[in-house]
Amino acid sequence: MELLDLAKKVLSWGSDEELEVYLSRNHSTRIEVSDLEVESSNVSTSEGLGIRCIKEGRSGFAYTTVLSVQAAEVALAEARENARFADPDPARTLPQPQGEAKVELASDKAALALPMEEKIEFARRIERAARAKDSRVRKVRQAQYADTSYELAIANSKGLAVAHSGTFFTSSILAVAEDNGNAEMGWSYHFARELAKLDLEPVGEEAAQRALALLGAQRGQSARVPVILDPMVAADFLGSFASAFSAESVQKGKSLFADLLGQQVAAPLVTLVDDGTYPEGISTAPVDDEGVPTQRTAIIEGGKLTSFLFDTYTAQKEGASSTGNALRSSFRSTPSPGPTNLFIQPGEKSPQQIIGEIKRGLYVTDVMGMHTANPISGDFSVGVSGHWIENGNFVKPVRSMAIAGNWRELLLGITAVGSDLRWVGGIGAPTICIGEMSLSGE
Amino acid sequence: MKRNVDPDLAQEILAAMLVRGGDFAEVYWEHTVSQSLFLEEGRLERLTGGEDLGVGLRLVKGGRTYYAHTNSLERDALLQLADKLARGAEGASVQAEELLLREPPVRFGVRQPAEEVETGEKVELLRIINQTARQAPQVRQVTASYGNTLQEVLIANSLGFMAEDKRSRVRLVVNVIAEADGKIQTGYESAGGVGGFELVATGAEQLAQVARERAVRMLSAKPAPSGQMTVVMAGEAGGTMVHEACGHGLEADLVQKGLSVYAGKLGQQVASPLITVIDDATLPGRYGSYAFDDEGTFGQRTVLIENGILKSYMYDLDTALKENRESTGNGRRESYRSRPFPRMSNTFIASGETDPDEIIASTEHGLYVTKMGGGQVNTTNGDFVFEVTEGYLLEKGKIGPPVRGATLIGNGPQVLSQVDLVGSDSGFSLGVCGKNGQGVPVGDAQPTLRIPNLVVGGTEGV
Repeated sequence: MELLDLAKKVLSWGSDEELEVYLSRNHSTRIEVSDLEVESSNVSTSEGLGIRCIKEGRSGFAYTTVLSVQAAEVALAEARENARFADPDPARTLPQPQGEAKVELASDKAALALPMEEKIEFARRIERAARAKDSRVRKVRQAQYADTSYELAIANSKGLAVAHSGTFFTSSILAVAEDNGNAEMGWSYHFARELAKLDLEPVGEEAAQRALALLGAQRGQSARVPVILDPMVAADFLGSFASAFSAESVQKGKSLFADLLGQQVAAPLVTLVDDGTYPEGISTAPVDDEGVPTQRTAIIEGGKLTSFLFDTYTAQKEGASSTGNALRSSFRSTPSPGPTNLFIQPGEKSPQQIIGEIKRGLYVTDVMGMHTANPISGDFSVGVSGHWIENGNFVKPVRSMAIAGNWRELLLGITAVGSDLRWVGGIGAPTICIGEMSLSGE
Repeated sequence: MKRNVDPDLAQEILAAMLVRGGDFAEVYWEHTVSQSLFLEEGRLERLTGGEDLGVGLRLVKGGRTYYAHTNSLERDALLQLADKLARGAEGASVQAEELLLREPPVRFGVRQPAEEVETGEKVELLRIINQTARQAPQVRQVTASYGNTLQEVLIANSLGFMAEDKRSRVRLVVNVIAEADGKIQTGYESAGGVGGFELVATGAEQLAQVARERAVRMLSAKPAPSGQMTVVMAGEAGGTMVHEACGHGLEADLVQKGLSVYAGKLGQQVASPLITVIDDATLPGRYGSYAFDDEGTFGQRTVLIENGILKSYMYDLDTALKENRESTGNGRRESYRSRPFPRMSNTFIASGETDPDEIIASTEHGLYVTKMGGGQVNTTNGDFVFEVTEGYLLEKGKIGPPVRGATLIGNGPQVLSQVDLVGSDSGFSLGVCGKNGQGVPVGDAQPTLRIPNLVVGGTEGV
């Protein structure tokens, strides 16, 4: 059955309530190679639907992985039952149909149909490139190629009915370099919406380079010094604190940016944007996960906080408009505001220039324990490895150290933003330099 | 729930997967029903429930794993998928063993099935938490959540193993956000395990109280120190350190690929003689307990490190096959959507002989950790981090003022070799462990431990 047809069937059972059906279906293939041998090949189909029911401001939800009329009936009954127990909130309502944003979504269905042997070769090419870089690259944890096609449909009792689909391709590798009993890992990743645009060899080479560069790393001295985050690390930080920009966090007193709209929250050279229409972004779509058109929203402009990210509920709560940021992790969950394609706008300086300006400091290429950062207080303390800088040059690799601080202080302390924007999934960042941070070591 | 994959169909699917040969084939059927309730702003905001029904098929041949999963469970669709997997292999058909249902030595009883408890009663738990947690003027927000899952599985493989299991888990979580002078601190607590509603039916009030007190107490905490110092970890602090410092490095897949600092060290001294590390899936009620792992092997108790000597790694069927040995019952997966890997169950350092108070009293200067959060490890070089969410300075053998959260960083084998005092106590914590993108519930525990030298990632001079 077509997804939208099933959605309409469910809506036809509605009574004096608001109903929403969200359906998705994915097909994917994933190949994992190690020592140039196929370690595993995975093919999968995942599908399911989630039903939201709102009655007198009480919202209930239920899901099922069975896309049948009978299973949908059971889910609807459960959603209604759940709604009975919820506390009422007049702001809980579903969006009216508002059209769709104009986006270009490449769909490369032909590539999905390639024979398995060709896909295996893609994964091997990633590993070969890593090994070819240097003879000290002796192992890989996994070189991986994956492709996915997805279909989504959202319909609600207010007449909204939207469907969209697309494809994406990813390559990644975790390479290990060994020398004199030392072993270090390096990771790299790329995604594209069309196979022709997917990097393979560059991903292998970069992971190898990252691992090799850390060989011989040792713990350094504690210090307060300038710290440069490479784009992948900067994106990791941005992703960890993204929830602070959600209107829900703000309204519930869980954001360190609450009450700061219009104020300077970052250095003037920082501009932070969420863009659901970003060309070829991994989260690019004509509508968000409750069917509202996506858009470009500047969150921080020239260091000033200009907007939060809203879904329909949080917008209703304060008489604002949804920014098209309703997000679900899957059909199993209800929407809440979150980022689509979130990125720090690149600046003018090349990373080499930024490094060259540092007398004494740290260049971070890897963090550990990022998930322990506290997005509510903004405090973080994470393990780091990277390169010690003296007079603008890398002088030795370091590891087993930690940096600590607060996300707000970090944003205000940014002294340089690089030109090298890099995407890790839906989060993008260039190289950034922070004027001073606490570095813990010996 | 009518089960749409029965033993006969499973046998048929196994045969279809092996028509072109293979070393191992497996059918994993799963039906999971879950309910979750979420309270915030004093309001019961989200109530969700659902069912997840799917099948994962696995064929192993010549070291290569072919895996497929689907939500389309009609007989024809499953046989077609089996045929698709078989096409990857080349060779003559092999026969699967006759399936034989196995009874595990332990089963975990459920006294009060959570599915039979009225939603209203669960809502009441969250209201109690909310009310208790707000009994301090500094509290700005309280989030409380409750969840229960009932997972039914049928696992059948070509070795003739067949296992049926029902796993019931319950979890109650509270997060308190307190604010003073523009500073925010949070207090997090969770309870639950393998079993029924009885695991959380009492004690909600205490859970909320502990979380509230921590959030408020931490508001007056000074920034954590930055640099190397002696660290004493209380038994009540949880077991994140053992999980990261050696647990992951003892998983056989990482060991076999040479990606662990513990590879090739069986029989060698890898920790202080005071240290014994055990992984035990058979402990009643713990979050990481199971009768069967996700390949149908019985859950068991495995001594990993005994008096500092490395005794065993943790195996699933695939890694066991490579060494021609038995699985240790550590083959786990998040769901039918993933193939299994060697994973921990409940991992702990065995209690020692020193009175915990004596450990504190004998420490001149250091950091006293009373609550750990999450952690991470780089198994290749052994470096690991774990988060301290509640800590105090130790001064002249006494517990001093509180310090704010910080990450501690060390190297697994180095840290475990350094431990110089092991307490006679123990305290379990529960968590969700992530590996290869999959989360599985685990338990971990440590007695009070003293480590002479760890890097504390704070912001103040030591």
